[in-house]
Amino acid sequence: MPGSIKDKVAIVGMGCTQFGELWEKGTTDLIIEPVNEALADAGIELNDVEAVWGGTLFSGNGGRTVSEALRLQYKPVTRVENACGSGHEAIRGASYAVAAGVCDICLPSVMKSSRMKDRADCPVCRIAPARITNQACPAFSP
Amino acid sequence: MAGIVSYGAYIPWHRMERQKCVSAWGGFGMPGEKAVGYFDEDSVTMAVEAARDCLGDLDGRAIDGLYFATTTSPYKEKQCAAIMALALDMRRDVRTIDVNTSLRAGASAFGMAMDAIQAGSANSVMVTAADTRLAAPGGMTEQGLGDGGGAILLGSENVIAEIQGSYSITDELAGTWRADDDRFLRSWEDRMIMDEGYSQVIKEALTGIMKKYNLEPKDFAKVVFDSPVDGRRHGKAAASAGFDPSQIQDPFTLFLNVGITGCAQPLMMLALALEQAKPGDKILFAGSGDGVDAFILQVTDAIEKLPARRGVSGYLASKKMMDGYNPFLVWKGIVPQEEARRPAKTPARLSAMWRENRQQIGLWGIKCKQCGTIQYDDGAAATTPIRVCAKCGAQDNFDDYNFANKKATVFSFTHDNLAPVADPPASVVIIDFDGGGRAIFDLTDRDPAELQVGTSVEMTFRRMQINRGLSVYHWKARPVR
Repeated sequence: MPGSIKDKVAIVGMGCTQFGELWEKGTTDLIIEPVNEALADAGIELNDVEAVWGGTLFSGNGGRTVSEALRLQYKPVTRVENACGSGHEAIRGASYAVAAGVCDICLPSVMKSSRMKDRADCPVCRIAPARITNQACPAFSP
Repeated sequence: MAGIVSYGAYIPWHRMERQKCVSAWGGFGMPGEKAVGYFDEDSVTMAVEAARDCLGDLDGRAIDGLYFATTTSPYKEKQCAAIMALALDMRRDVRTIDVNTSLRAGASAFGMAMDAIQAGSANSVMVTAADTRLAAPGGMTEQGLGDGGGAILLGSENVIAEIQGSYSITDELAGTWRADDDRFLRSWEDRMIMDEGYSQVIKEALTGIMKKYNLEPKDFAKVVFDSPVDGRRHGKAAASAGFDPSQIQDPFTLFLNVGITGCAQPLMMLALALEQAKPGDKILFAGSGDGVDAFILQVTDAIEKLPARRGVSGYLASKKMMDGYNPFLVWKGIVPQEEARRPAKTPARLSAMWRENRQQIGLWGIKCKQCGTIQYDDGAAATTPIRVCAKCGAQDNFDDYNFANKKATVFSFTHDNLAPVADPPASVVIIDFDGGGRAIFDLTDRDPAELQVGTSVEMTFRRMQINRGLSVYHWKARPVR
């Protein structure tokens, strides 16, 4: 069906940070830890990822927030923001890339920290899930 | 026996002819020039630099104590020595103390260090002092004051000068003072505070310590003690205790080139005296302020084996004369600048500062255990130490690697005339460290016209900003001179 991503995209791995008041963790940690978990969950390596969407509000500027933390090289990173929906924006962007057939594996990485040096924020989004999507699984169909 | 193991000094690169004050305000000009701490310098950064000069290749982790003397602490509540211990890579169990409020603080910290070593509770203590006192613009005091720091490492082994005695007097006379909320120095009429204060207590302390140890002026090669703005008073005080002009550690070298550096002055004069001292010299060292702390030092043969350092002489020789008086007012925050027509700077986040304090204040990076690549995270986007190797992708598998004492070469640079800085342009460099590692830093103490790709730079400890009262420290590159 034109205009739908139904049955074209699947979540193949997920990860999440510890919940809590994580004074000792910065954005880098909030990216790396769930990404590691999601990669392990999917049974792939970071190199298998073709493109990244970083979703955050206030916790960093631009794609470098993700690329520097993971020391990504030559991977396109798109930074999206939509307040507390920033995470969903990242998933949506990554899903479209997969659905469009441009990428097989994309990584939406979503992080939020009110404890780092940029700005304070809404506490609802302090968690940092990371998900991996690819083709042909009905599990992810907004 | 307790003694001096090493010494060091720091003098800011920028100097201002005292005549510039006269051009701005009129009145009578004193001779010489004064050292002016740059907009990114304060007493903490200067004391760190003096301590680094003092340390040379010595290991900061071998030192048991760090005493920081200043009357111009950036904090009323919060210790500065704790910041400095990180910058100097000292141990977690180092004993840190700030000694504040008296012009005698430098000499007092020296005495406290001596006591700790003599008591056996410490094998070595770093004493470092710096001051950046301000007088209200337009007066003579403004011309006389200067910025600078000194450092003396005390220990019980390999001493270049033994401490053979000490003597203290306390005297209550508020000759100069700053109240809790005073920014500028206050003082009483010169003749009274000199005649009844300085001149009396110096004489009393110098004669008192000689009497206590049954010594006479002729037993000393040098007498080293602080001077007021009027250096003639210094000579008269020494003469009143029986010293010949040839024995006096001249205060004019510092006064004419640096100015009166508050509680750091005795330590800087002692550092200069030790640069010139010979084995066998006996030195009478004292610092005044609300009384006097005095010490007898005996220079040993080890002084001839002490490695070269910049010291007072080295820093005196490296300078940039300021074009005018106005930058002085801006750098010291006396006159506000028009705010940049841009969003405000990123505010300081205590949690990020705390997570990264070894990286930001200690200038620690990593060496990857897997591929050996040396890396530094500059904190621009990062708020935590490096977790992933940029070369091989290894995670959390690194050795610590320190860049503070590494020289580097400029790989690329920019001069940004729009960035909101106190002395535009903002000079930013990407540098390659000797031994490996490429990173981006601000460049300070620079002449924009001189900077080139390939310029040799070294790291210097500086203040990046003050935000909500928090002084944020980090390192900058500066051309090697």
